[in-house]
Amino acid sequence: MKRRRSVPLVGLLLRLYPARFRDRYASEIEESLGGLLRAAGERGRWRWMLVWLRGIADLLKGAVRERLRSGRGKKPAMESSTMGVGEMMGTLVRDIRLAFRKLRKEPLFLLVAAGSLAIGIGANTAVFSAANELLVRPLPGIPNYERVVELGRTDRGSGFDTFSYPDFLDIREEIPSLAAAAAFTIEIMSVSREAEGVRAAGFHVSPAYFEILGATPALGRFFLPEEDIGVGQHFVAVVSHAFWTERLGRDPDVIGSTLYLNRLAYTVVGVTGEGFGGHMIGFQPDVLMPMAQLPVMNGGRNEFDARNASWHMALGLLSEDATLEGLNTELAALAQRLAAAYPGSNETRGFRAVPLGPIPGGGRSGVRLFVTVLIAMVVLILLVTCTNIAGMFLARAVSREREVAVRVALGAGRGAIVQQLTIETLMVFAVGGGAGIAIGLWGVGLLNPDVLPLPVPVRFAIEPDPRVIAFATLVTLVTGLLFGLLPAAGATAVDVVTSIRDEGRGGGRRAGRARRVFAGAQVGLSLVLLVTAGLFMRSLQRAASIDTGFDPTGAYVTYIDLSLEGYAEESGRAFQASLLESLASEAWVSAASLSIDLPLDLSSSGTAVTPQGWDEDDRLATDFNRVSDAYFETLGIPILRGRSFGPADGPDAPRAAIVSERFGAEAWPGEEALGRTFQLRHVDGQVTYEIVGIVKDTKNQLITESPKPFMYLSLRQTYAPGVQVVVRTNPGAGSASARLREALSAADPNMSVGGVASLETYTALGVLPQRLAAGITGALGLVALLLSGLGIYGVVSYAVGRQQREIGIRMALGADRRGVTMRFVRGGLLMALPGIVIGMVVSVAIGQVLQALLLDLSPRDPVAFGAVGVVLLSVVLLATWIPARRAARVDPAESLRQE
Amino acid sequence: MPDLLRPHWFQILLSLSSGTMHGSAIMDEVLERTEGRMKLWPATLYGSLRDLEEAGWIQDSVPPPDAPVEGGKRRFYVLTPSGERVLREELRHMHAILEEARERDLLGDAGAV
Repeated sequence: MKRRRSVPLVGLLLRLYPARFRDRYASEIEESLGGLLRAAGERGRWRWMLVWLRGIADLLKGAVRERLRSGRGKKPAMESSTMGVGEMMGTLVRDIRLAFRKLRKEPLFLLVAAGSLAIGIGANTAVFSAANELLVRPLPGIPNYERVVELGRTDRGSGFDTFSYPDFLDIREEIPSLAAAAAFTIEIMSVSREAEGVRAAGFHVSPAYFEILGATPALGRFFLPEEDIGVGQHFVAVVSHAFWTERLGRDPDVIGSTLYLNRLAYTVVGVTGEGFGGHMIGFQPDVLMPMAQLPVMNGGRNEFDARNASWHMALGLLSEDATLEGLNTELAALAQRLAAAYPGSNETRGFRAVPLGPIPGGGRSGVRLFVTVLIAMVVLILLVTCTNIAGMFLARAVSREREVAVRVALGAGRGAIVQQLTIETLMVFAVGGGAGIAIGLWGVGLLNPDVLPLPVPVRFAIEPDPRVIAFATLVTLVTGLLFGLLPAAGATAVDVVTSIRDEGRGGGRRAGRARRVFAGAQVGLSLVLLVTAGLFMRSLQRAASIDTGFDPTGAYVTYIDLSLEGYAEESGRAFQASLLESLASEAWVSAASLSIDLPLDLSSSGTAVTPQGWDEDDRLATDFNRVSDAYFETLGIPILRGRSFGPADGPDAPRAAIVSERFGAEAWPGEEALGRTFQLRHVDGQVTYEIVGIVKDTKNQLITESPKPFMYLSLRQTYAPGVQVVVRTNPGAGSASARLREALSAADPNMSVGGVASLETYTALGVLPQRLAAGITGALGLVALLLSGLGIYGVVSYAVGRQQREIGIRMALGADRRGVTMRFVRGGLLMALPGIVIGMVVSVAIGQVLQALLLDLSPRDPVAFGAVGVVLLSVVLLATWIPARRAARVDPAESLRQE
Repeated sequence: MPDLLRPHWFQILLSLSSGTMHGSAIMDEVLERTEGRMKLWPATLYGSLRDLEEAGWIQDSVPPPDAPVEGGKRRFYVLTPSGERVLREELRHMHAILEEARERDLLGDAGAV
């Protein structure tokens, strides 16, 4: 038996055909369309979609044609052959014109139907395209994609963190399932050829990095095995094809030329292939260097031998017959051996391999959760759209029962009427679908990273996925057709005489019930969306009340890189000192400082130290920052004991450090840390630092993190050319951005100054996911609220319109206006109530799933639920009250006379 | 003067003039013969086959002996005598038009026999 793969939606569309035709041809039609699609699929997804759309269009056209035929009865084929193409076109043009005229008379219907379609399709297009790009689509330029794994370190079985180099070497040597393994780190560096430098993404890698990804050089070679070792020996670099093209002008003599990376001279030995973009989405390497030279670049910090210091990431290539499960088993066994051999560092450590994906392993689960939330949101929006569209078309079909009956009585064929309604439906979809695609493209633009305030140059292009557009359009089209056309088709079968006389009340009952269910479902769906948005907003609110340990209000930040401006270390130090002095003397500035990092800015550096009194091999893992004297004053971080850095901490003075409370508590539990020392490994051996101050803990990477050891080193003792400049302004200082820029230009007229941001904006990056989620779900929730309000309004006002006569009779018999109003309001509330109850239950469940993103907020936060409930009830009340009031204004005499 | 047959009907009849065929094969044959200018999409194709059957110009046929047996319910078609007559008339009709055009020298070089 041949395996038949069904084509999306074809089976459904075939149901639109008369049974006789379907029985005879359906399976063959499906099969031959399947054949066409298979052939097209081999030529790419655009091709597939084109053929699919053509096939679907053909099926729809055929359905109309077959229905027309059976509507006209069994006429001889020869006669139909005389209906030439010209005549058919004539009918079609007439129908389109008629549909256009009709829709123009119902602008509100067209606006709401097409508008909700556009939103549903647009939101789905944007989000699914992003999901495809971030989580599914293999990165280009990696032939070995299926066999590449990312390696990560776990702690007590969880997490996906950086490695220590000795652990990495053990993995590389002892795991048979790995054909190769490569370590790498990433940093933003300044790259220059002669004078002008640019900021570029630098990857320090093991030579195996290229082999693992299956990359081949366009020019020259990649790194040799011997370049993997020997600190200070092999200063060789590979540049990316994009960097070679954009920055080096496709110089044919680039191989062998010199490139200055952070002011160190490197010889270019190769250029990557054109399609190669590294192994992470959005973060392509511009320049790649052997890892061995990292200590030279890092001002001497050499951690290649430190098993306790975790600082680099790793990739591996599965051997030919190896599996991921097998690899993970071997990694677990190795982790146990290492834990036994090095309990000081490895006791709780494990290793894990995951398949390569666009998002690096460590961030993947977070991104996946976030994207899943968005997908769930837009699927809900699509459901709201479908129910809304279905409700509207249903109402329209029922209200036109009489018109249809009249036309049937006048001799119009069933097929002709169905064709007319189909064309009207398709026109609404054409408008809505077109606008939806436009919204989708715009939404995809919003998701691209250059609009996000990220501190690193991130490049990727999310492209709208044509399959998603087609799918979303089709789902709504089918719902629209099912609920819009089927009742209409039914209406044409209704007894003509009764229909005209009774205004089709019989068919209306059933459709009316369906509409009430739709309206209730919409309320429930919007409730879910609104509660989700509410939870995100509440967690943002909560984030604002968390004590971060520093005070961003009134502080402004910008970035300067003196290595790009032609300063050497000596002149750079002098410039930085005079800049700080002149900034501090300005009247509008209360404090100014320089630092490598800032709290909560998504970037941080980690290392490990040996505190005084610890075993020589034991290390304390800590994050660190290098700062100028007034850093703590400028950021509002309280100094609890001791002092800040000062002129006494010059380059030749004993090394000084300031540590966080938590650092002290972990290094010397229960004892005073001030005045104690620790060892930090530099390239030329261990260096002793003395702790001269203790400061309050700050949130460093995540707003929700618990306090971690943190230390500050002085910029006076290690020069850094690229620094964040932060000024704290005096109250009422006015436009700090312009003034800060002016001050920098005054210090060096040639200085290129980047954007100035308030520290509040800058440090809000830590809550970026919540901000995005609150914004997106909030907007979608409001749309859903509007749609469901309109849905309820439509149902109630329709009921009022239908029951005019009944209301008239009741009022003539003495019912008062209030009673009549309340009857309809009660009906509206009853319609919404099941939706609200079910929506609440679903929201609680969704809240549980979202917990990780909610920053310690309870997923059943009463404020979010309460506020949403009140808003939703008000909208429902308003949507029922307005038409209900109209019912109460019915003039009994008038409505009775109408008949 | 009779109207021309609908173009896809004509093409289907022309395909079947060379022997028994099933639907997908007709689709491929027409596509190839018209050099991609006429693609009979499935619903159009089977709708036309049904029309032609009802007109009595084609009919169901037993599969040719060399047809592969897999694929289950494939239906094969063959021209009826009246179908052959319609096709022949149509071709004659076209031929007459072409003759006329050639006499008036409307075809240019392409008209040379």
